[in-house]
Amino acid sequence: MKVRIDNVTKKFGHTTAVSNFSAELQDGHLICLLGPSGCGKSTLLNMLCGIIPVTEGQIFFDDKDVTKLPPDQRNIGMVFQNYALYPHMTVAENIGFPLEVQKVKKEERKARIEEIAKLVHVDNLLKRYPSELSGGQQQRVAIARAMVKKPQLLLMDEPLSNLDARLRLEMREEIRRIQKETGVTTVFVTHDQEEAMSISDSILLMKDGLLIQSGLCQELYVNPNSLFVAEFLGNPPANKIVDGDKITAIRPEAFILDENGTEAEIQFISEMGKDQIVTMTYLGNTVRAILNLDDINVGSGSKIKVGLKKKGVFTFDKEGHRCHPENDDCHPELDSGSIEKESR
Amino acid sequence: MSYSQKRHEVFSKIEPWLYLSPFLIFIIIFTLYPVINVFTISFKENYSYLRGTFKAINFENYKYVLSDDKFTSGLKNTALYVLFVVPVSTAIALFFANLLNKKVRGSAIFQTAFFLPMVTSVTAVGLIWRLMYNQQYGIINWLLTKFGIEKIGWVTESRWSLLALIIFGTWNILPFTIIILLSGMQNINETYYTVARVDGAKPLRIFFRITVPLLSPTIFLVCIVNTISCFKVFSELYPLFYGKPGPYYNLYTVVYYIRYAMMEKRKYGYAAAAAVILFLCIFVVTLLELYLKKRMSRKGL
Repeated sequence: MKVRIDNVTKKFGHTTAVSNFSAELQDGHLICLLGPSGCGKSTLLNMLCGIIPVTEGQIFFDDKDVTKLPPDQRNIGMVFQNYALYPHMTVAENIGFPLEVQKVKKEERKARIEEIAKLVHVDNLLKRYPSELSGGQQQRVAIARAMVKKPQLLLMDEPLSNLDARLRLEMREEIRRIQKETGVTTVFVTHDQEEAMSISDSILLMKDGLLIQSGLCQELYVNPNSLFVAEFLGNPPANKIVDGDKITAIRPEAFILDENGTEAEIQFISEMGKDQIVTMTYLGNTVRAILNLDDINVGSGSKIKVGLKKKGVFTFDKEGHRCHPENDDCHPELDSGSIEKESR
Repeated sequence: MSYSQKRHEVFSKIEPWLYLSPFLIFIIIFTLYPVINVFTISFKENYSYLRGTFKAINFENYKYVLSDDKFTSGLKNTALYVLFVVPVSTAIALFFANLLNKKVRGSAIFQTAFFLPMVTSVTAVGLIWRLMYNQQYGIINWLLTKFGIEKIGWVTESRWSLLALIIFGTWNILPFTIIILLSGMQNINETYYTVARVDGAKPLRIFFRITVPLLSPTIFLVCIVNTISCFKVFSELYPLFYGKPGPYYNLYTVVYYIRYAMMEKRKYGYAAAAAVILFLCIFVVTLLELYLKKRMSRKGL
C-alpha cells in the first residue's frame, strides 16, 4: 500500500512536534524514519497509526483519506519499543488477540496463528508465556501479533533498542526478511543511522520536526543536501572543517595516503578489523580517517601525507546548506530553505 | 579504653540487637506477650484474670465455646458476612477504580469524595447509617417506596439485620479497596491499552481481558486484606444496633462474641478460645488464597 503524507503538522500546545511534513512512501518498501531523539519521528509514526490526532494536513493510504479514522479502522499493525506483550496470555493467545477482537472463528484463528508463527520462527513457543521468552523471541512474537491480521501497513517504533548488540543485528536481518517475504509496506522508526542504512529501502531523515532529506539510503549518504545529513549519516561521522564562510565535511573514508598530499600528524590509531581509524591533526583540525596503514610503519606522533578523494567531500555555506560541487560559489539548494541553522 | 580484638567481636555481636531493641521491646510487650497469653489462657479451665488461678489445663473452653449457640451462630454470621462483603466490595471497587482511572476533568473531586469514608469514624458513620435505615423516616426506605417497595425494618427486624450489616460493611470497606485497586491500575503500562486499541478492542473487552488479569495480583492482595478485616467485623455492628448484636440478639459475630464472653460473662478462657478459633479460620482462609495466588502466578504477573 502506498502512503502519502500531505503537509502534516502536529502541535502540542505551543510546541510544534512535526511541522509541514510531506512525503510519499512507496508500496512494499521498508522506510526508515530517522533522526536524533526528540525530532518528532515517533509522533509522526503515531499519527500514521492514528493514536495521536493530526493538527493540520492529511494522510492518505493509497487514495483514501485516513486522517480522521481511528487506529482500528486503518488496518495497520504496530510493534512497540517494549513489545507490550500481554504477560497473562500465552504466545498463541497474544498473537491471536487481534483476531479474537475481530471475532474470527476458532479454527481459522488457530490456522492463522500457526501460519504467522512459522513465518517469524516462534511456532515452537506457542504455549509459553512472555516472561519465559528471551528478548529476541518476545520481539518476534510482537511482530507476529502485529502481522497476524494481515495489515496493509506495519509500523515499528524503535523495535530493536531493547535488545543487546548481537541480537539487534540478528533481528535487523529477520525484520528485513519478514518484510520482504510478506511485502508489507513498513515504517521503521530509529535514531540509529547504521540500523537505518542497513535495513531500509529508503530513509526519511528528520530534525526538529522537519523533513530534511528523503531518498534511498545510498543517495543520502553520497549526496547529502545539508551539513546535518552529512554529519548524521556514517560511522565514524564525517569530519567538519570550518574555513571562513565555508564548511567542508570529509568522510573518514575519503582520506587516502598520498605522497603529494597535505601533512597530518597522527594522534592515535584504533584498530577496526582490516582498517584502522586514525585520529590525526589535519590542517589544524582533529579529524578521524579510515586508512590502511599496514604497509607503512607509523605510530602516534608520526607524520603522514594524506590526500582527499573526490567522493565523500562536501562543501557547505556557513548556514549548513550544500554548495554545488561543480562550482565553489555557495548557493543553497532550492528545497533547503527549511533547514535549521547549524548550531554546533 | 584501648582497642581490643575481643571486645570488638563481642560488640559487633550485640550491636544489631541494640538497634532493634526499641522496636523489639514494644513488639514483645504489646504483641508477642498478649498473643502467647491468649493461647495459654484458652487452655486454662476457669481462669481468673485477677488472681491468675485456674482449675486445669484442658480443652474445656473450646468444648464450651463450640457448643455455645451464640458462638456458632456468630461464626455462621461472620462467614456469611465475609462471603458477601469481600467479593461484592471488590467488584464494585473495580468498577469505580476503572472510572476514576480515566483522566477526566474533575476526577480529583470524585477521588476525594470516594475516599472520604476512609477518614471518618466508623462509629459516627454507623450511627448515621442507622438513621438512614430507619423504618419510617430513613432515606433508604424513602427511596425504596419510590420504586413501590414496602418499607423494610432494616435494623429492627431480625431477618433484615444481616443484610443491613453487609451493605454498611461493603460501603465502609469500599474506599480502601478502591484506593488499592486504583493504584494497581495506574501501574499498568499504558502501551497495553494502546496495543489493544490499535487492534480495535472495545472498552468492555479491554477491561475483562487486559485490565482485570493484569490487576489480579492487586485484586488478590485486596481480597486477602479485606477477608482478614471482615472476619473481625465488630465496629460496624456495634453502632448499627446501639451496641446490641442485632435487634433481637440474633446477629452475633465472632469478635462480638469475644467481647461478650470477656466483658459480660467475664470468662476469659472462653474469650481466648474464641479468639484462637477466629485466628485459625483467618489463617486457613488466607493460606487458601495464597495457594490460589501461587497457582496463578506462573504467568509472571
